[in-house]
This record gives sequence, C-alpha cells and structure tokens, in this order.
Amino acid sequence: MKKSEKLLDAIGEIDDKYIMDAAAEPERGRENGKMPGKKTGRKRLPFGWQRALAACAALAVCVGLAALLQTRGLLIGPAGGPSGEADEATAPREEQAAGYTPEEAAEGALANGDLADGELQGRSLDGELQGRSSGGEMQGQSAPGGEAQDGQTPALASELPGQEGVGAQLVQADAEGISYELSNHSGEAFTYGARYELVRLTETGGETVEPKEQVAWEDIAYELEDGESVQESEDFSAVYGRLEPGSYQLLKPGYLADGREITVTVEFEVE
Amino acid sequence: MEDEKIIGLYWARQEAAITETDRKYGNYCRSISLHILKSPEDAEECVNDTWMRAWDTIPPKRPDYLAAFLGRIVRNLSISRYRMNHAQKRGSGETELLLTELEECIPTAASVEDEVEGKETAAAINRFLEGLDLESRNIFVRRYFYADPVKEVAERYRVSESKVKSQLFRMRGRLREHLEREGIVL
Repeated sequence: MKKSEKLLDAIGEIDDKYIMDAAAEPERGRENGKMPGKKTGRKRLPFGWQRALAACAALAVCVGLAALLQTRGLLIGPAGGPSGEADEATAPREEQAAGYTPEEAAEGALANGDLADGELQGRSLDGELQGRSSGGEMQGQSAPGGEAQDGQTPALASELPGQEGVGAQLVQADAEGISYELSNHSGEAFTYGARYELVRLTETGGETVEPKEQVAWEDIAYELEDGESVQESEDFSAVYGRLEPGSYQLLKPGYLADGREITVTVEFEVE
Repeated sequence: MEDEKIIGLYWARQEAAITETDRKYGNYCRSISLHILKSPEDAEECVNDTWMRAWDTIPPKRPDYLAAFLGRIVRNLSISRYRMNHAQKRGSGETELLLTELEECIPTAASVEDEVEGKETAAAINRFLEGLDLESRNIFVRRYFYADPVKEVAERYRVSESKVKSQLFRMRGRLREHLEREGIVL
C-alpha cells in the first residue's frame, strides 16, 4: 500500500469532534459562531466602501468648515482658501486610489495558488489580473504598449524587483522559451512550483495566453532562501507552442514563509 | 429525528433505524462516497453497505456522534471500493488528487524502523489538528476526510480557491514536519 494511502486511512481515524466541526455549516456574522480571524474577499469590499464614504463625509465637513471660517475672517489659507484645503485633503486620497495592497494584488494576480497539487491547470485569468497585469503598478513595471505610467521602459521595468522583495530579471527570451533570474530579498524563504502563466500585453490590457491543451504541472515545490538567486527557464513550446511576436508577461506565483501569496512577473518581447 | 432516538431504534432492533438513518444522513453519506468514487452506482452501494455496517455494530456500539460514526464507515468503504476499482493502475479523479497531495506529507525519517500502526499515526494527526485554528482545521478535514473538491471547500467557507489551496499547501508541509518530529514512519 502506498504511504499516501496509509495517511489517507489514518486521517479516517481522526477524532469525532473534528469530523463534526467540519460537518457543521459555517456560521457567518452571528454572535456565537463566526469563523475566527479570517476575512473573505467579499467582506472586504463593503468595508472599503464604508471607509470611502466616511472619508467623503469627513472631507465635506472640512471643506464646509473651512469655507465658513474663511467667510468669517477666521481662516487665512493659501490662495483660494477652501480649494487649497480641498487640494490638500484630496491629495492623500488620490495617492491611495492609485495603489492597492500587495495582498489584493496577490489575491487577484493568480487564482490558482497551490503549487504542488498536481491538478490540471490552464485557467484563464480573471478581470482583476488583466487589469493589474496591464498596469503593473505593484510591480513597478510599465504599462502595455511600451508607454510606461512611471516613465520607465518595459525593458527597464522588467529588471525592477517585484512585490515583497522577490523579483525576476530577464536573461533571454524568444518564441520558444525564456530564461530569467529569480531573486529573493524579502527576508523570508520564497516557495514556488513549476506552474506559470503567460499574458500577452496589448494596448488595451492583457490577454491570457491559453495553453494548446490541458496542462498537468510537475508536482514539485522549490524553495529560494532569502538572499539567494536562481536562474529558471521555461519551455513555452511544451505548453503554448511557438509564441506569436508581441509583448508578453510571465507570471510566476509563490508564497513567502508567512503564507503571503505573491506573483513575480517578467516582461519580454518576442520578435 | 434526533440521533439519540435513531440509536435507540438500532438498540431496539427496529428496521425503522435504517429508514431514519437514510432520511437524515443519506445525502451526507452519499456526498462523501461520491467525492471518492465519482460513480453514483458505486456510491449507492457503499451507502447501503454503511447502513448494514451500522446495523451490525449498533449495538454494542453507542456512538457519541452518529454523523461522524457513519461518515467514517462510508469513507472507509468508499476508499476500499476505490482501491478495488483502481487496482494496478493509476487513475484520475478526486481521490487520486488527494493521494498525490498527501504524498507531500510523508515524513522522511533519519532511520527507518518498524512501520507505525495506523492508530499511532491517527493520534499524531489528531495532535496536529489540535494545533490548527478552526478554519484551517475544517478546511483540512473537508478536503482530506470528506474528500471535498477544492472548489466546494472554497464555496463552503466563502474564500477563494487559491486561498484554500495555499492553506492546504502550508498545512501539508506542517503535517509532514509534525509527523517527522513525532517519529512517525509510514
């Protein structure tokens, strides 16, 4: 009998209380049974909207108060008084609106996060990923079409470190494969597997490159310690066939030791 | 009908015990079996065998948790049926995925001694589960006891599939380390 079958059998002998706990329907938002400690992505959205509304309300109060004080001669602001106050008040919100948390980027970047389950892959990316891969703000990389939002070229952007101190630098790429150097300066071990995805960058965003057939990724996990680098390569012909000329982004998902999911990206051109 | 009353019917040797068990736990047991076997016909046979097994063992048994008792029986029967169906060949499907995933949990021991009995392994797994938070533990049990597909686990707990997969990935690694620390050799 395989050892994994023995383990499967042994799991069948766990305590009744664990079986019953898992059998119970999870309770949400009730006083006596909410699952502790974990917020879901769905719950995050309304809370964010509440924060936005609260910020707008606070801004309106500040603007109104400033106008009132100025009309009464009690407040002397920079040129334009209330508008100046409004500018200062909106500036942080604009900065906040431009970015998003690494956790949100990681969650949207690649839906299939398990690296070593041997399941068939080839899922298409969702709209979140397409929006983020085209912008690339979290990666510090350029927008599609070669025109960088931060003024940097795609080539230079691909050399920048990715999220959380883990990054990739292009070594060589063509229609049949890619070599890149993966480096980890996150302070923790970075774990990743064989899986990757390709996005073709267009002027309007990114389009997932679909594998030519269903893919079964090798059931293996690699660990890159903090401070280490490794050269990795991917053979596109086995998964996608020869790539058409264009701009592409390779997405490599992985995890840090504390469980944070991150995706490392490398942009490259196929001529 | 309450579990106590159903168990009472078994003890009274009334065949209504089977009817009531099927009414209350039929879908529950079929779901477990279907996750493992993928065949409704095979699953139905395993469920019927489960009722037979329950009839044969109650009494003298008086389970504290009837759902866990029945779930364990149907799971074991389904896994045995799966092995019989897939003898000598590596198949596909959910159970094969479970076995593939669980291979990551196999501990590597410095010295190989006598194989550890299943109950000792189960006890070690219990200690491992005790150290998990409730949600993680439930996700582990739903996946590896109930053989729920990852998608169903994610829907059940209203989290993303990637989150479930990452949690399972980390828990498998931690289980392997736990079994190694406890000196479990499979």
